[in-house]
Amino acid sequence: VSTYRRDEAVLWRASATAVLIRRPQDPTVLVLDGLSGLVWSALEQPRSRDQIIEVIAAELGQAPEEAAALVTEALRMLETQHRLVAPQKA
Amino acid sequence: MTAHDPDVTLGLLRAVAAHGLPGASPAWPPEPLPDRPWQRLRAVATADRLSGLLVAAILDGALPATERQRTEATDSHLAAMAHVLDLEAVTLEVVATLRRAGIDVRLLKGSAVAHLDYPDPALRAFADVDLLVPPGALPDAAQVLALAGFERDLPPRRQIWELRYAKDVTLYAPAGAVQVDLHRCLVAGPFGTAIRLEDLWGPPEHVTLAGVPLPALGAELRLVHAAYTAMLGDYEPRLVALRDVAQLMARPGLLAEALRIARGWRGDVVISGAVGLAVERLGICAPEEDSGRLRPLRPTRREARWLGCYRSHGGSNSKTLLGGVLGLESPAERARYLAALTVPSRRYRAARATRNRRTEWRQAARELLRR
Repeated sequence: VSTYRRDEAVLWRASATAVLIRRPQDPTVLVLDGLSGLVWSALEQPRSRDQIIEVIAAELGQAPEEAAALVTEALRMLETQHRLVAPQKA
Repeated sequence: MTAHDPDVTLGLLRAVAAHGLPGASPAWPPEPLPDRPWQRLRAVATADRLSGLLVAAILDGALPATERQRTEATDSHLAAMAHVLDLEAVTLEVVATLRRAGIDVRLLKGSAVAHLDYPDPALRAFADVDLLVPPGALPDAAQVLALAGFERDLPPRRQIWELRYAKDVTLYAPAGAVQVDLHRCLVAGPFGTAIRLEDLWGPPEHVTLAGVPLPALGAELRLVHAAYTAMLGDYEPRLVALRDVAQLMARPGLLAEALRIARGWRGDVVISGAVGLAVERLGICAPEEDSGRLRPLRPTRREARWLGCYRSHGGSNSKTLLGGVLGLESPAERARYLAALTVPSRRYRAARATRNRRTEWRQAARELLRR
C-alpha cells in the first residue's frame, strides 16, 4: 500500500477557505480550495489513499464510499497536475 | 457611543488582537457591525497584520458577521497570506545568498514568531523580512546582497557606523517590492547600544521553510525582542507586537528568563512596560508565577531618560539615534559613535537630500490610504 506525502519543498498557509501554496522559485501562488485543500490538510502526516478518504469523509459527514471518487480525483490532481503530493511504498 | 465611534473600532481591534489568549474576555457586539464600522475594522485589522485573528474571531463565533463580512475578511486574509509566502520565498533566497558567503543568520520577528509561537502560522501576518547577522558582519552582508541584485534604500551612513553601531540596513529584493531588514541589533537608541550582541547568538530554535531549517532566536530572546519592539518601535505600540508579547509570556518560565536577560542590558523596564501594556490593552493577566517579578512602571531617572529618546515616549528618530550614545560605557566608544553618527558620508548626505522628501510624501500617502 502506498502512502501519500506532501512535497516539503513548498511554502504554504492554510486559511479558513483555502490553502495557499507557492514554490520558492516560482511566484505563482496556487489556491487549493474545496476538496484539494482538504486533501492537503489531511496529509499533515503521511496517509494511504483509503486513510485520506476516511479522514475527509468524516469531516464532511459522509460515508467513505460516497466521498471516494471525488477525493481520489482531487488526490490525482495534486499528484499529477500540481506535483504537490507523491505516493511512497509503505 | 455608537458603532461608528472610532473608540468602538479600537475596542474591537483590541478584542481581535486578544482573541484566543487565555484570560481574555472582550466584549463583542451582539450582532454584526453596520457597514462603515465593519469596513474600518477590516481595513485597520489588515493594516495592523491582524487579519488572521479577525477571521478566527468570526469563525469561532466570537465576532458576529454577515456572510458578506465573512467573505471579505477571508479575502483580506488570503491576500495577506499570499504576501507572506512571497516574503518567505525572499527569506530563503537571502539566507542562501548569505550562507554561500559564510554569513550566519537568525530569523527575527514575523516569520519566526508565526511559526514558533502561534498555534497556527496563518494567524500572524507580517510585512517584511527581518534577519539578524553577526556583529561586524553587517557591511559584508549588505554588500553580498547588493551584488545579488538587492537595492539598498540609502548608501552607508559611514562604514564604521554599519560595522559597530547601526541597528539595521534596509534593502529591497530585485523582483517586487519586498523589504529586507538586515539587523545588527534589536533596536536603535540607548536600549539598543546597551545590548550585548554576543548574547543574541546562543543556541537557536529552527523554523522550517520549504524543507529548509532556518535558525531563529531562542524563545526568551524572541520575547525580549517582541517587548522591545512593542515598547520602543512605534509612536503607539502596535497591537500585533503586544500580541506577540502575550503569546510568548504565556509560556511557563519564559518571562522570568526574558527579564533576566534584559536586566543584563539595563532594559528590564522595557520588558515590564511591554507586559503592562499587553495586559492593559489586550485585557489579559500576566502569568501568576511572574507577577512578583514585574516592576511597576516607575522608571528610574536613567530609565526615564533612555525611554524619552523614543517616539513612543515623546522622542524622535533623531533623538533615538543621538540617545544611542547613552547606552555605551566607554568615553572613547561614545566619541566614535557620535563621530560616525553626525558626520555621514557625502554619498549618504546626497541621497538623503534628494530622497528624503519623496520618502516622506510616499510615507504620508501610504498612511493616509491605510487609515
